[in-house]
Amino acid sequence: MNANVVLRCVGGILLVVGATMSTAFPVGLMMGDSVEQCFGVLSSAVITMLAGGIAVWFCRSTDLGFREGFGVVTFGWIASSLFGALPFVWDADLSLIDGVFETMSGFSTTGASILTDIEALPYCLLYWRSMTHWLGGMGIVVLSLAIMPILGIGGMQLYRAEAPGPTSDQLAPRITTTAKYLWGIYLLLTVAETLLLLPKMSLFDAWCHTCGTLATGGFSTRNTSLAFFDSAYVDGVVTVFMFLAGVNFVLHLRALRGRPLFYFKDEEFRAYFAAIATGVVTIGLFLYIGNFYDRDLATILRHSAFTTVSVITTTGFCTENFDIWPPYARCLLLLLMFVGGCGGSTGGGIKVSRILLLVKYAVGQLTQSIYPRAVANLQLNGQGVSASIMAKILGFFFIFVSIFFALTLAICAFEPNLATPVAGIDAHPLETALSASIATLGNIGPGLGKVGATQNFSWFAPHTKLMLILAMLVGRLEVYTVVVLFLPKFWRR
Amino acid sequence: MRVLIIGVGDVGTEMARILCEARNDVVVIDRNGALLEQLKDSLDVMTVTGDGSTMSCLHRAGIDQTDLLLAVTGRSEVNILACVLAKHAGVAKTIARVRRADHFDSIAEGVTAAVVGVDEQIITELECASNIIDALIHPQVKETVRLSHPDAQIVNFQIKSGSPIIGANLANFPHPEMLEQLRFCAILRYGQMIIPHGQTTFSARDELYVAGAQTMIEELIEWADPLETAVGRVIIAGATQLGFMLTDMLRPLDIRVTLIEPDERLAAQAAATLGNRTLVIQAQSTDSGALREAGIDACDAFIGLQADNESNMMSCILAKRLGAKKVIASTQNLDYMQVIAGINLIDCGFSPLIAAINALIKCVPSDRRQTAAVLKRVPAEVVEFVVDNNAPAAGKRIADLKIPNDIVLALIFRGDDLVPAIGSETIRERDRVCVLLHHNAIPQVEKLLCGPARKK
Repeated sequence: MNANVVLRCVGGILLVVGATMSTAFPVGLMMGDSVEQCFGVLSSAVITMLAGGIAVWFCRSTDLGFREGFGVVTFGWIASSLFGALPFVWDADLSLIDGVFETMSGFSTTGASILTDIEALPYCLLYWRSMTHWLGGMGIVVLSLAIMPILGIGGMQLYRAEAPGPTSDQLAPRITTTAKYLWGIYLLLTVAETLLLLPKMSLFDAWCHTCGTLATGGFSTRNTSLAFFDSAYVDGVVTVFMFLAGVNFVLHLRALRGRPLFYFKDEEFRAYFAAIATGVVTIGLFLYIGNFYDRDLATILRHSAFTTVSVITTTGFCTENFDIWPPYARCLLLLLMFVGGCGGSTGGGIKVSRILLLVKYAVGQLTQSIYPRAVANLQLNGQGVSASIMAKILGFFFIFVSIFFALTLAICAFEPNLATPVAGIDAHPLETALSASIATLGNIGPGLGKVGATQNFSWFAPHTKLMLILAMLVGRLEVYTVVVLFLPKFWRR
Repeated sequence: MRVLIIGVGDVGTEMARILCEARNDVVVIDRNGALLEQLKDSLDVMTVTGDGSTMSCLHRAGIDQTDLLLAVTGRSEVNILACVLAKHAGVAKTIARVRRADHFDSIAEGVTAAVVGVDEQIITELECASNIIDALIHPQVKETVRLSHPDAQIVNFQIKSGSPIIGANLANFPHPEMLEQLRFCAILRYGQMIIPHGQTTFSARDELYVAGAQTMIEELIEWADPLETAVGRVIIAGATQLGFMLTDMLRPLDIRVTLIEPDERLAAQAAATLGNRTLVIQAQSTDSGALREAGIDACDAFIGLQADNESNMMSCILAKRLGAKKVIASTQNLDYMQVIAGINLIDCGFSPLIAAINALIKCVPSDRRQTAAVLKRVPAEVVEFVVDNNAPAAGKRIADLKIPNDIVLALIFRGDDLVPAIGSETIRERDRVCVLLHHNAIPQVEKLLCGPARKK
């Protein structure tokens, strides 16, 4: 691997991260933080930009192969999380592991927090926390491609290594143009949601929650997440935008170009919509049967819709403690965590299109066992899916599920605090381990039991946190990009 | 500029690379999805899998925003149809690669290429045949590159033993007046490229790349190789499309052609179309008896043009062993060009693919720089740069520029004048500087000669 070009690209990414971090300083001051409180953020931003600048200045190679692509994306994310953790270590007195956990959780749009009292943080840190979501949602590397053509590096390798989904749609002949389109839509949606939230909250809260929504992250500025605002209007707006963030952004672009009907022509979108509709209706039904919310249909609909969308898009905002809901609801939510958003969205998980193709593949296999000479016909949106793409999806599914179980096993084996009850809640160790594993690997955030909607990740031992940090990275970069770096073959020439 | 390329064989891939590096928006169409995936790994292009001769596929590739269409698949019909469709969709310029010269009416006013919507047709075999003729005229010439200035050429020729140029160097060249008009760009010695400086001594079997006016180069070759005789008899192996075209073009030059073709039907067809002046022998070209029958020991040149690359090269080696003075091989495989350059028994190699690429890049407009030719004997390109007034190099002497050793400034076109780009020359605004370099170095030289990249 050509380390020079990797360093150059990582340097470029750090410049973008540092520049974004520096905006936390004026924002914090404007919101009433003291200069002392914001000093850590400012110096961290300077250090990050310096490190990035030095790397870009001294590394001049632009010879990027696909091995280097994997390296740039993985190390770029790791470096961003390390430098992004500095303000937390500096200003909030977190340990380095805790700081990196919080930052990785932000960049990977997981939204799992180790903070017990969020509202105690200075504004500049709350803002930076939300900005990590916003940067990570569309992809730090894609952003760097869009605004830093001076890196002089074409980047299909980078784009494909970071962009979510089984295939990457190209919207324009040049990768930088594609990246600009995607960020343009992202920015547009951000502005729209912020404006819509303004009637019910301050600009600061609106912006931070918008970042959490569109990146499908889930960091809030309040200890009780969105339940703090207790407003059906806010829940409605956030539900709609979480839903939009989980849709392939290419469809948004088509819609903006005047073809809104394209949404329903897309098979993945229809499956995504069907999954959500099923979730909302059946969970609502079980809530009704179980006598929740005084059987008030409007309230039931509001909470079941919000929670279903929040979980399937892997956002992880909470309005209600779904851990006390009927077992059917909890189990379905756990399953939806695996599904995730659409390919090409900001959501995590396995992705709807992959699940859809896996189902089609399974049906095809069954058909072929009855008609051994039948010709396989695997299509998505009327386009044939090649055997190599299908093989990649099968491989992805296997590795994803393997990592999920391995991580669960590791948590059960090595986590000393797993069985200790917290704040009078029963520990449910297995539920906790399973859901903590998928909540980080699928970039959701909250899970069940001791990592449930009203809990957090602070009680984990440092070594478990390290594993969860890795899981968040692996999940966000869709397994292959990170895992190949662990293969000795990758490093051999 | 948005460019649509149909077909990513060797020609399409090379064109995509050149256009991509010139910062164009490139979209490529091919029926083979796996090829496109490979291309995507190395180039920043958009790919569309499908048949480029269908409107639905062209629409998916954004034909309505396209400025230039290059239809370069191996099939003329597909290429022409794609151009016709694209013209109707409003593409400003369409270029098709075709295999035959007689698709369109060139004599009477009728169905010309332009009428149906093909702005330019690159007749691959015709281009290649004229390249071969360039090399045939002088036995020692191996490659000729024509530049945008009509008189200017870059020629590669080999020094024969006994030539008066052996032992000379540039510092005390016997004909100093030639140096004022010629530029010795590079020496290919045992497959190694050397950039000559004042003290580099020329030796036998060196291949020289010389740039300058055509007449001056001919004068140099005449002096360096006084014993050369005019070509009178040529043996061509392979009644391919290229074989026919070359035979046709050699006839007016008073060169007698003997054609060898193993296939009975093709041989008979060739005899019928070429008439009595051309002798057609039906035999394997790797059969020494047949080659002797064709008069291999008395011929001036043997040209292997068969479709089968390997047996083609074999027959060339055999022909040289049997006494052919000059042996030329054609190949459809670009990687074989370097293999041929490494075989001493084969004098020069040509490929219709390279001819197609070189003809295509001349048709692609560019304001700042233009690739004049892709060389394949050495991994280098000839690129012409237009000097901008705010470029770092403008107004400086060439010797004062910091140019890496492996980049050769060959010629300067100043209005209609041809100036060799030697160290004492000053680069002026609006000069067209012709540079021999590896394509990796293009951005660096472009910055130097054309100034910082302009925003589009």
